[in-house]
Amino acid sequence: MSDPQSTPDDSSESTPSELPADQTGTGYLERAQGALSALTESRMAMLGLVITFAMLILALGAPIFAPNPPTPDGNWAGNLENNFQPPFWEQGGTLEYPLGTDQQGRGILSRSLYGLRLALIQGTVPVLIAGIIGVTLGLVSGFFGGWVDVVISRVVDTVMSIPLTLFAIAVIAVLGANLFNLVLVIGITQWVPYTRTIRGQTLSIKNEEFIEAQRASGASNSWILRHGIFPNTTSSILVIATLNIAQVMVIAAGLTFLGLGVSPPRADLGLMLATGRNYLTTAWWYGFFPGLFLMLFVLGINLFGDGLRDILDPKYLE
Amino acid sequence: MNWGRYLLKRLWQYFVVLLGVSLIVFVITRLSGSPVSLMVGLDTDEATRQALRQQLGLTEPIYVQYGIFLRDVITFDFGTSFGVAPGEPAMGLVLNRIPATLELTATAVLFAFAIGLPVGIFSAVRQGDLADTAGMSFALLGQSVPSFWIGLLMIIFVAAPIEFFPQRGGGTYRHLILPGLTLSFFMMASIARLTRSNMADVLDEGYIDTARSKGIKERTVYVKHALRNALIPVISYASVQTAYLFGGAVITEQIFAYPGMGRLAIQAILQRDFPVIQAIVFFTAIMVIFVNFSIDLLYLRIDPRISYEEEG
Amino acid sequence: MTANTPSTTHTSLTESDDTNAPLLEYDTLDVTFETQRGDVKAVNGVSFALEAGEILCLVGESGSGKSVTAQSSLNLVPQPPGVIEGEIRYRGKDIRTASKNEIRSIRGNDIGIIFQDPISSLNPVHTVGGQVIEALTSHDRWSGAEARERAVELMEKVGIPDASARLDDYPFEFSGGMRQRVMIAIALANEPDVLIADEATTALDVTIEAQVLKLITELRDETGMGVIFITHDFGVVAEIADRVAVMYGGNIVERGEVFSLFENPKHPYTQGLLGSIPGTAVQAGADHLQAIEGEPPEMTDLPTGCTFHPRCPKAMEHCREEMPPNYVDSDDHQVRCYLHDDLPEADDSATRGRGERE
Repeated sequence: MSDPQSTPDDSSESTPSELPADQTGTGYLERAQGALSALTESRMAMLGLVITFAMLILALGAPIFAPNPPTPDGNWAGNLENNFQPPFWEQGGTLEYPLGTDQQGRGILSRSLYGLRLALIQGTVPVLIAGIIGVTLGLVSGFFGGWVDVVISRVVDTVMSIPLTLFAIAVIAVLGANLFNLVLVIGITQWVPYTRTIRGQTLSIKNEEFIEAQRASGASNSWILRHGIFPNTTSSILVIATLNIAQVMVIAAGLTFLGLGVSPPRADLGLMLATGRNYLTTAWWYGFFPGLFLMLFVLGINLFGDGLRDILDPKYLE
Repeated sequence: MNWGRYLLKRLWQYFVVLLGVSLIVFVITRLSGSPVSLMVGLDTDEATRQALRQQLGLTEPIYVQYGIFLRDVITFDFGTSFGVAPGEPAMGLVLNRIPATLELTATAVLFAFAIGLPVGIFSAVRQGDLADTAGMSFALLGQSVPSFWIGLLMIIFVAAPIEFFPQRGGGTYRHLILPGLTLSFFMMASIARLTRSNMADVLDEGYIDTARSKGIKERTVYVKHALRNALIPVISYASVQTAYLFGGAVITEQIFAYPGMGRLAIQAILQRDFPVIQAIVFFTAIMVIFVNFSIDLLYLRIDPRISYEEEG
Repeated sequence: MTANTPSTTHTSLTESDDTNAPLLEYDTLDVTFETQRGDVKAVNGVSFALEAGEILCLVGESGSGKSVTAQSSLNLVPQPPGVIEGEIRYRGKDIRTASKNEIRSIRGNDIGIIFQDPISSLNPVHTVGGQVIEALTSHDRWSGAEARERAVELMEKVGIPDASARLDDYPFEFSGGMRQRVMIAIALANEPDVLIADEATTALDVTIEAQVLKLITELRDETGMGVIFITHDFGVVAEIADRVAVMYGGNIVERGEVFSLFENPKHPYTQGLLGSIPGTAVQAGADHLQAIEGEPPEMTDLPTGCTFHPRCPKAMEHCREEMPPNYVDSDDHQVRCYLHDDLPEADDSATRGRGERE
């Protein structure tokens, strides 16, 4: 037999007895299949997918595609004689460095591709952190309500009153500027949208009948949360996370631009833009192309995420 | 009426938030472990260090330290800068820069609404049209473009060739245009999209038909009835975006070497100047709360349902 | 509303128009919506007329085209995606070709309309009083202060207690029934000649509905305005109608005086509708309720011939081929059904009300 309703933090889960399969309230496999076919019909989503995929391949395959990669141990050997070469279609440019070179003679194209790879990490890891924190807080806050909800809501308000950039500045001033700290700081500030949305959804789901059914069969709170409520929030999480990755990539590049991220000589899009800032009038390609690559990546993800949202959300929210 | 209760509730929430902010700032500054070693040279003897610790109150238990910290904050004493402008009170430095940053953010908001709203309205009225597609594509682009890249592009293609637009510095209204535009881009795009979707929704509502059936002018239907309702969530969005705007100002100021609070923050971090950083974070939070509260007040005026709704 | 037969008749007023034209006249109205899934013919060759002082009930299921017909008289149908053909004449003047200003002057002034859902029909961010006053001031007939007075009068007339205080309240402070009364006040603000009530009482509970119906009939008695009351509820029809027109699949399939229709429904659809109401069925001698088989037609894929034939228990071969014409009997009771092809055909122009057919 399963035990009756347990307190919030029970570590032992109790599965409901004799719950018929269709009463778990998830039907999200069918929904996913439906969403997938709708996805292929949405031009926007497909375009976004194509662009994102292309950029993804470029990023992951940077060592293959880059015409002037670093040495295997990460050393960007630049030839000072080649510095500040313009792109190949301008006078003075060569096809050896298709998009020109920087102040140390390193290829802009190659550095940008490696920068995309770094951007990928900078985009996905914080979202993972933020997602875990945010979804958990949202579920707890919506499900249990009461003072827990109030406290979490105040925390949300507080976080939202401090601009991320300033917070990052303050923390990184103390902890030091590197990839790990950057990713961490961004991760712990991005959880608010998850919490808000999941909390709202939890509030509406927890009153639905199938939750009552689960409870009546003896399911514990943690079981209900994990198997009843959470599966029905996955489509929203997916939408938020996708769009969030794009935002976070931009944020990370911005913070690195300010000097709060990785340091030279690593190939980072934000860093390149920061240095490029100094040569805008003399070597415009330095500031232009890294930003272009970043924009394309972000655009692709945004398009895809928007298409995803149009398909998933209205379907879910009935 | 319920207004009083509503406002009081909000004020209380903001107070709690400020408390939370102070706690966060406090924790951050204590994160470094030993602020003293950051302040003095490596070869300073222990006695001097201990004296400094005592002076800074670091020998007290942690909650006493927090208490002292709170007291200082309330009296606006953030200590003296030891990096950016050694010896000067941190608060003074920050206050000096606030007006410039406020001007920048205000300009950005102006641009964002001045361009975003019309685009959104136009797209909603001409749904499905070419104008609609163009407007929304532009908006999507605006949301995908990193603001600092836009800033760089502005300098390359606008400021450099055209004398009228300065590339760096601040002081005159001309110095506000390009940085303001750069900062406004994302918000402009978001406003355009939001306005369009809200207008489109509102135009489907029953009261629009009712309005038309009274025989009033079409323009009045759009402005007095549709827009009036569609704008409410947009203003709410603007409120939420304030923090983001102040953060974005840091980057914009850096690009255009604009002498605002953001620039000061960057200089402070380079020098590990904690008092200044603390002061900046705190003042920014206060500004954000101020803006939020102002919008709360505005909300009472524009949406009569607000004071009757309980928080879910 | 479970009335079986109408309780009283209403004698038409002796008020005469300066022209011979009926108050409101639809002449072969066609409304087609061009959608992604195909063309939807919402209204198909509808013709009828409304005279002053009469209450005409337009009855039908959802999707029968009744709302669109009503909305088109105020040019409220969005065009695109709607395409409208035919004429709608107010006092002889074609509304469809009228200028923007003329249409504006008709809206709310000559023709007033009440919509179905009171909850969404009022703008939530303006005061109720403001919205009533807006109706009054938009035709330059009342100035600001006068308008306010008149607004209070109107609200009192429709039965809103404490009217002058409630002028400054917002819609969310009113109940559904009260909001519908406000809508009536707005519709009647400028003393229109025609009132169109589009399912105006469907969303209200029975007691409130009774009050609203009473209000409408009283106003008709006082002012002699014509009323088109759209509903799917035969109980309402029995209560207030002078004449009835039954719509199905975009056509008017039967029309006539209310008594005639109830006592002797000619079209199988009408028979089905009346047979599925407990009271009328018993009266007709049935011992069980008869639901109409099948579903309303898919508007993008209407059946050939008579739109009702797939569901008709008395369908014949001919019904599948061609839409029947309008047959009329001596009581001016018209029906579009081959079952009655022994009757003479009505002429195709808009039919008129009792006693005005010369």
